[in-house]
Amino acid sequence: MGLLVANKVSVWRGTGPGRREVVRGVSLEVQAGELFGLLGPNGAGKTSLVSVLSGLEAPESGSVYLEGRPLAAAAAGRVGLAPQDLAFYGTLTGRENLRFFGRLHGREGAELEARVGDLLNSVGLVEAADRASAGYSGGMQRRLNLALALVSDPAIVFLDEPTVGVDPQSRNLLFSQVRRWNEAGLTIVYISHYMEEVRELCPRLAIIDHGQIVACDRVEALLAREHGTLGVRLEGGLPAGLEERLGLVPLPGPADGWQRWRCQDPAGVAPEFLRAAESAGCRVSALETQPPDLQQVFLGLTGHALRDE
Amino acid sequence: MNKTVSRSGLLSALWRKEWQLLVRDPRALGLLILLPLVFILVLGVLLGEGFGRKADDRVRMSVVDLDSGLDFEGKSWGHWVREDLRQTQDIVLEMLPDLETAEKLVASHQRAAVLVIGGDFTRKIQNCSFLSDGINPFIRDGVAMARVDTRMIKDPRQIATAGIMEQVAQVSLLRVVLPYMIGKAFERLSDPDFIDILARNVNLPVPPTLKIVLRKEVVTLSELLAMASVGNAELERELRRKAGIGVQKSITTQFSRYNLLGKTWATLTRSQGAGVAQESVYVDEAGHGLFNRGAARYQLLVPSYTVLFSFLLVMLVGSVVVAERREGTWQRLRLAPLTPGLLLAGKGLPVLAISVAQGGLLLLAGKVVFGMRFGPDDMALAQQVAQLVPVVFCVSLAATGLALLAATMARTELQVALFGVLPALVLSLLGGCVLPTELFPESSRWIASCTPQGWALLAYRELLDPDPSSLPSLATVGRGCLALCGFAAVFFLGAWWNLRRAWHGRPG
Repeated sequence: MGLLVANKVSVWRGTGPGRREVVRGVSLEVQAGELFGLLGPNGAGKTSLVSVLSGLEAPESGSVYLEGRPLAAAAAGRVGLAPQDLAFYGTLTGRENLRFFGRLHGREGAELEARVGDLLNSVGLVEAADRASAGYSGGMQRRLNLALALVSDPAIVFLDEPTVGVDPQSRNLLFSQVRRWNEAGLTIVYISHYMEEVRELCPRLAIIDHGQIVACDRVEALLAREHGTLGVRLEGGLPAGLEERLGLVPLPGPADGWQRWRCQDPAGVAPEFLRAAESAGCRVSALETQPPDLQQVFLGLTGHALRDE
Repeated sequence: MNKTVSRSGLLSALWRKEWQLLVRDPRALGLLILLPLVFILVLGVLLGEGFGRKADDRVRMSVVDLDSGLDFEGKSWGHWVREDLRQTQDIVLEMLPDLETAEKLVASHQRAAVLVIGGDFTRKIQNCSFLSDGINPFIRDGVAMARVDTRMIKDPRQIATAGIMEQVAQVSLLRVVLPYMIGKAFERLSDPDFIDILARNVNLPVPPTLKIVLRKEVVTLSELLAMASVGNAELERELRRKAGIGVQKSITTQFSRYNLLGKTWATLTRSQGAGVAQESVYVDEAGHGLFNRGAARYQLLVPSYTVLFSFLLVMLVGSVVVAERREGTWQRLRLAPLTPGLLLAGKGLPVLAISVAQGGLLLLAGKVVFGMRFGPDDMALAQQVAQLVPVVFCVSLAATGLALLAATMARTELQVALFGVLPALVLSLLGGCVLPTELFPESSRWIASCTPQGWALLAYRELLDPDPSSLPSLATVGRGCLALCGFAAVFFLGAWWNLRRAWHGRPG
């Protein structure tokens, strides 16, 4: 059994005629030590699902288990949350924020100071630790938000859109820190609508759309469901039967001199394609291959692009 | 592995954090003290000395009595003028200590007029007489005041009121002077001098049988009395005295509804005054100096605004809680091992401490800056303070409760204003913080007892009575404190209920 298990979780929002189901019978399982991604466009229900999975909100139906026990019965502090909106006291310094939430989770004295020091160090805020956090840059505030999620030494931590408003440098720092925490054994659920981030960080992920999990698998397995593209600039005609033999499906495209095909493994097919074209007297002046990506996976699963909404 | 956290540890963490947040905004803390002080100062300087008292429909007759003489019944005639005014219906008699005060009050338009009874008043009254050598005090309008050493000091800006007061004074003077003069004149009827005059002027016809003896057609009463006493001078004086008494008796019988020998209006007219008017001694309640230090109105203004601003703490607490929700720290708190009760205690206690400090500092400023008293003059300061402390605490408790209730209801700053500030202001208005309940219509005063502010002011005003000799009723103060605790309990319960609902779904 996974560290975190959700069974047919539903969440409703609003009242009266406007009442709607924003999370629709979601079931998923996160294993201990996993860096799990939750990918979905804005408004897909990610944050509502995280509210239930982190214990902030009880589901209207369904159940959530943490470490084999109902989440409501789990000890406080076993779940860490770095909410999408920054959540700390701006008039307090970074160190004071960490100390306060550390105390709330039972840490005191030298142990508390050591934990606060470790977290400040890990998110690169040692120098700014004693400045009012409202004066931090966007990236620093995001990092403090992240550190606060870990101060209780949780079993699992939810990072909800942790890179919103963060510059590339801070983003890379944040990624490497997330990886280090995961390598140290922390279970992390990384929630984002950025496909690249989830693909870069998470070996396994769930794709959510309109409140439903439309796919949940390892990244490779998800990508294997989709086709990449092979594109060439050709002079002359292709040998007959090549498309069928190599499993190429022609794609309509712009009149830019390129011909494109969908195929399962464009990089693997390309040498065979070149050989066949050469032997048939065709000249290939340019060739490009594009492996399948999560955008295509999402498109294939939902019928619309990830950033449509 | 996560640790079990003790309640005391959680509370300590919350208090420390709340305190850190509050002290990081010293301007807000300073305003909590400064703003009420400015209000009190401005109102204290602007409002008149009668602030907080219902306007009296009766005429206030201010009198300075400098009369040091002694006469009728061993008292001065000034005393009898005051007594007459005191017994006059719809008059409030106010005694001023000296001429300087009277002149100051009129010059500053605080009194329309003052009746001054001079030091020679009794001697002058003694000299008033219907006889030609006596003082005739009467003129067309009543008593010529200057002739009996009295005068009115009048404010030229309040001619109408001063005129009414002068008429009141005239009537009283007439009621004092006239009976005295009539009584004195009636006593003179048995005087030998008067009988002489009478005897000389009464001519009686001589009966025919005596005409031969007397050889006169008419004879005077004087001659008859001389004949009756047959040359005995002693007997003649006795007969004259009896004649005088006879005249007195005749007149008394004829005018039996009056006692013409009585020297006061009551005995002359055989009637008693209503005796309903009040006499008060003037006390300078206006204060002195730039801030009118010591003015009686501060005894009302300071507690009123201390109470009002205690309840306006709702702004501070509400904005802190709304900010907590807005900044997302609310979510983090919900993930911590906190219960609604603990969170309330964690937020409430620092607020309570601030409220108590605010109340204490305002009262202290009231004493230091505005010269207010904490209780009766003959009570030790320590005892006065000891009686005030429970009231300050109970007011703060109720104010903290209301602040938390509003804060747990509000989701935005606008809602803080609607759920917190507006009700706090309305309750303060109904409770008598802005306008003392004495100025409410009689039928509406009960509303104050439906508000915590009303009970707070009841307790404060019992202890801070402007009368320096008034001993406070501790039972009244206790009732006020109990009611405040009751309000606090209801508010805290409401806040806990709201918070419990918001807490729904958090891990245990």
